[in-house]
Amino acid sequence: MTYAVWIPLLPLLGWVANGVAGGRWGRRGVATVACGTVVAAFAVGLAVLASLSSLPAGARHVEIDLYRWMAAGPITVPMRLLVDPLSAVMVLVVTGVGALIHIYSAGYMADDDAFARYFAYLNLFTASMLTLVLAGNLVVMFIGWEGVGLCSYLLIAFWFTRPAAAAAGVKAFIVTRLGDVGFLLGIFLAFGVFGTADFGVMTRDAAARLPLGGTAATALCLLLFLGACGKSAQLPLYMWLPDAMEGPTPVSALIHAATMVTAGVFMIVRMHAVYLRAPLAMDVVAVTGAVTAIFAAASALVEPDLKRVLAYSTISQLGYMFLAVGVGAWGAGIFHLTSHAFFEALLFLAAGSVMHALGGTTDMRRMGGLARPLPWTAATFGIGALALAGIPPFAGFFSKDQILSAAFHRGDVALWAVGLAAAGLTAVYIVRAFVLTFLTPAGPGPRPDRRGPTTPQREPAAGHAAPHEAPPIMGLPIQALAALTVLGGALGLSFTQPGALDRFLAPVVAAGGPDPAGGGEGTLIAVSVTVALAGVAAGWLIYGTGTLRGSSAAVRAWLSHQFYVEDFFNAVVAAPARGLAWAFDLLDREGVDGAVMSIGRMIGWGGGRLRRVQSGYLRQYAAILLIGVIVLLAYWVSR
Amino acid sequence: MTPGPLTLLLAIPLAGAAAAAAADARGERRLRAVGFAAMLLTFLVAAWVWLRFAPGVAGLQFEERAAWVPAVGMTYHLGVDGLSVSLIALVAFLFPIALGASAGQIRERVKPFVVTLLLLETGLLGTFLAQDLVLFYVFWEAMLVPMYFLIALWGGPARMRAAIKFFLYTMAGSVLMLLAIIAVYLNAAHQPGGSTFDLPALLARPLGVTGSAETLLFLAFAVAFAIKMPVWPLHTWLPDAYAASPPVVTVLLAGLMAKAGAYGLLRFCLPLFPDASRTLGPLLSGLAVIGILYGGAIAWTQRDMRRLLAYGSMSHMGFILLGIFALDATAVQGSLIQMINHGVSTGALFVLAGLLLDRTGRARTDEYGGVASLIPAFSAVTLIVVMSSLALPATNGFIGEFLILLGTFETRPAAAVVATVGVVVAVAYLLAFVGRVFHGPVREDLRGLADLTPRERALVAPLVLVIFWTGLYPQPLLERSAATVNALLNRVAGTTAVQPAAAHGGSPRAVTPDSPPAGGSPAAFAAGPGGRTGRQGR
Repeated sequence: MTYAVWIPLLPLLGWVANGVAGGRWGRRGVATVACGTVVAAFAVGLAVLASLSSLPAGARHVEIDLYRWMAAGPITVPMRLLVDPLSAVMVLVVTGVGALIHIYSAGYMADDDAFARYFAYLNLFTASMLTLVLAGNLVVMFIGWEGVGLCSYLLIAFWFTRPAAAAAGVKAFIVTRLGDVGFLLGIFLAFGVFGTADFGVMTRDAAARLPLGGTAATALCLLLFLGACGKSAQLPLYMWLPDAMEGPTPVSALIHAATMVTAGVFMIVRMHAVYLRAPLAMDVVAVTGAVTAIFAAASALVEPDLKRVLAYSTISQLGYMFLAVGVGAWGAGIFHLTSHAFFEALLFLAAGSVMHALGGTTDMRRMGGLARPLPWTAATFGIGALALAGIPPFAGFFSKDQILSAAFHRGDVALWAVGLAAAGLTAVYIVRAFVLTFLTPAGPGPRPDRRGPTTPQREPAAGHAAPHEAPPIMGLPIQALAALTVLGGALGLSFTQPGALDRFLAPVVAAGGPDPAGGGEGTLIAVSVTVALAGVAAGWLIYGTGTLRGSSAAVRAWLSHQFYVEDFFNAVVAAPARGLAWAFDLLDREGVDGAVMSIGRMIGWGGGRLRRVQSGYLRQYAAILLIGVIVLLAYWVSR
Repeated sequence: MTPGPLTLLLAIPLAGAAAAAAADARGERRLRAVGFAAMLLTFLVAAWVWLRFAPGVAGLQFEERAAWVPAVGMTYHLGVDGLSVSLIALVAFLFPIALGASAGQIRERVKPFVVTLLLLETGLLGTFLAQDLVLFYVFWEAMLVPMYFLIALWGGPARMRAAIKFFLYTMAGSVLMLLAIIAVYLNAAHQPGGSTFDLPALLARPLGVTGSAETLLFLAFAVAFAIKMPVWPLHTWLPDAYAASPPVVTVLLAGLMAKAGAYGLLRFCLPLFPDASRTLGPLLSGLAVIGILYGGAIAWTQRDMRRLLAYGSMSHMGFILLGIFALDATAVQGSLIQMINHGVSTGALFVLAGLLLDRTGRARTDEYGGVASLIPAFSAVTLIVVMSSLALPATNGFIGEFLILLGTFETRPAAAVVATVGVVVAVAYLLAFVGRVFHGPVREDLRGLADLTPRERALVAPLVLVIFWTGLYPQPLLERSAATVNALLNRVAGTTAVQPAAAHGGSPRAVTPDSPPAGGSPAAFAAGPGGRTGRQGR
């Protein structure tokens, strides 16, 4: 199965081709190369899936050693890929959703000056993401892990002449790197414990080398989870993701919804054998996930910017995924990752369609009544919204329900209740977004955008005067994602026995998952559907008909400042770091260098004094000579 | 004695300097051509040595030995081993690039410039080749003098002050080292074999210094090397010198001369004074960590492009020091590869900064803006170099920092944990640099900025290639240093016998299909706290 190498290699070649010579073959050529390589990678992924399925379940773990990457001292790190059901699923999600978004981008970015640069970055991102999911050890995974971070930075700051975009890119890079300190230390600890960071070895030896609940296991898992928090925008490292919406909308769909931000979830599933040795760490993961889910859902309630609402919804849904893997429901985590990739990408692309129609507006206060001119966009956004809200029979319902029921059956009723409450809030905020965008009468005229005037490069301009549907090259990927959102639930469609996805993943995550066939499943489903419908109804009554009213200013302030988490972070981490840097600078000039220079000055001063001895007066020299002779004579005599 | 390739490495740049000195000072193009030809020829010889170097051999190769001053035991003794072979190649690799990049900066006194540059190359190569203490000292000083003139004659407005500060500061260190060399020599008189300055001969028998005497001698050497690197707090000549020199000279200062300091620690301090290296190791590791964070933090506050890069360079040198005094095979190998990486990446950063300065004459980062949309190719190359400098995986910087931190984590976990925070600091100052210069609104007065010319592309292309080559396939470099590093660490650990791999009984390494490189694990590992498998029991 060595040909699986081509999965990351094809988009990488696309990057090289478009990056080096993209200017030479025109927009059509650039788009063809970029989309073609991702589609081809998807095809290879299908072939890998087929040959993997033809193997007996126990043999579905194929390691591909390309060459010896690093060997120093007793450490050896091979450049190794790992093909198993988990990586196969991830490859198909990344290349499948990725290909759709590449195609959509060809329309969305059609008028951008930096068309070739855009697609070069997008291809590099895809290659990095595929390296991440196919990696055979933590170090190779780290290539992809940092590679997607780089591309995220480059694409958030894609319109880098706008200060907000440039700053958002830097913020994303720095905050995720904070998490990566944990990831790196986790790798070092893995080498300390296992002598290797190989996934196969770690999975096999975890039980033997890590005592259950031991310090080493807990530390290892928490360090890696810190990396996951940064990459997957969980509390307290979430704050870069809302700002990341400065990037082009297809980028938000691909990187900041469907793929990169799910890397943390994937990594934990990949390391699940190690996490099972650290129940405390798993609890931390689950609690972080649940708290983030409800925190981000609440923050989305008052957000006026459509894309930022979707960003908070991504953060919130990622919280569900961490809740899933934290309670050991590995399959449910991956299931929700997959269905979320469908419906969140759908929501973003539909939002992109709205922005395309409105000339780049993302402020919902300037939208309204768009259902009439944009019926397709409204319908597909609606499908995504219902899936996000957890309304059956859309994909989001099945995957979210699996997570909640897994939490409930493991006895974590509190986590289940938090997840349920977050689900209710989710329904409210997405109905709000839908109503404000598509239904209410258009807002009170254009208001000044809170990020200042839009520059020509901001988003593809189409004029605010007559909103119209996007061209088919953008429409078709949206409709394909809508279809996947409607049908994707089938991957896990089963209440009493493991679904198709679970069964396929079973060889990887066989150990540890809770029994999905618990009792009272029907009641649980009824409760979550009721909550979701109640959320929808509440949203409709508040924002649609205006029947429900009233909110306290204090609550509003807390929500619109995201509970002041970021302000706290700035006050406690960012500002002191900056102050320390300036203090060091002062210390260096005045203290350290001052000391050196004063030594120099002292020598100079001493030399100046000493110079007076060399007066040039013969009588003085003779006197000194005489004194010397006397001293020497006195010495000899006294001896 | 027939001159071998190593003598050739010294003779070619020297002959080039003579030829340039004899040439007509008005024929600028020809002068540069002569210099470039000599450097290229030197590079070819160095590349030949590098390719013919036998990996897996711990001792010296291509040795050349001739009587110099036999009466006092001085020999002309050259040789390369795993510590120096790649550094030689780096020196020979960077000089032609620096000369090529100087076209826009050095317009006056081209003839003395070419001559001085070639003399500096001789000095640097000699420093890395010499195996006799006095010969080493001669080359060590021989590179200081041309560097002084390069700063003082071709530098910016603050050049005289910076040059004198640089010269006096490094000279102070050198004097201490000279005293220590003489002390080692005099001490050797009491040992079997008598007095000698020959390093392998000195290492082949007990040195006869212990306790506080050894510590003092260690410090005398170490201070000289620490100033050159520089190590916190002996670094304050650096920002002045880096910012006052012409950028191409800074390429050599940061890219190559700093390495001479790190190399000296490995070549002399560790093997001559193993006990002191062990006892003072934690102290130096601490200084390294301070340097990483302190340099990075200050870089973050700088507005002058070259001062920013200078403090960044200092921060990165901290990683090299950290790796050396982790006294762990992985970390020391990482340090050696990081010396190459730092030379390539920091060198490339200063080359690019120089090209930008040539075009605009603006030293401060906030005098730029939106440059990426004006000169896309230049910006793409800069971005690649910046990424290698902040240790993005698949670039060279990652290999070095990863191995250093991984090895340090085994022997000095606390230092490794704090140093790992340095990777965030590096992102902060490097992205601040990119953000201010390349991103943001386009400065209208920069319109018309010229992108890389074909000649400049040819200059930076090799640097970019090495960045990716080292990042993706570092084995040729690691293989060449493995055996020497293992032998060196065995010496420091006080055992000459190689620990058999079985000492790790049941080591998880056994289950990886890739067997560890020949030479087994050094005793330093077993001696480290906890050892590699020690954590599992907890």
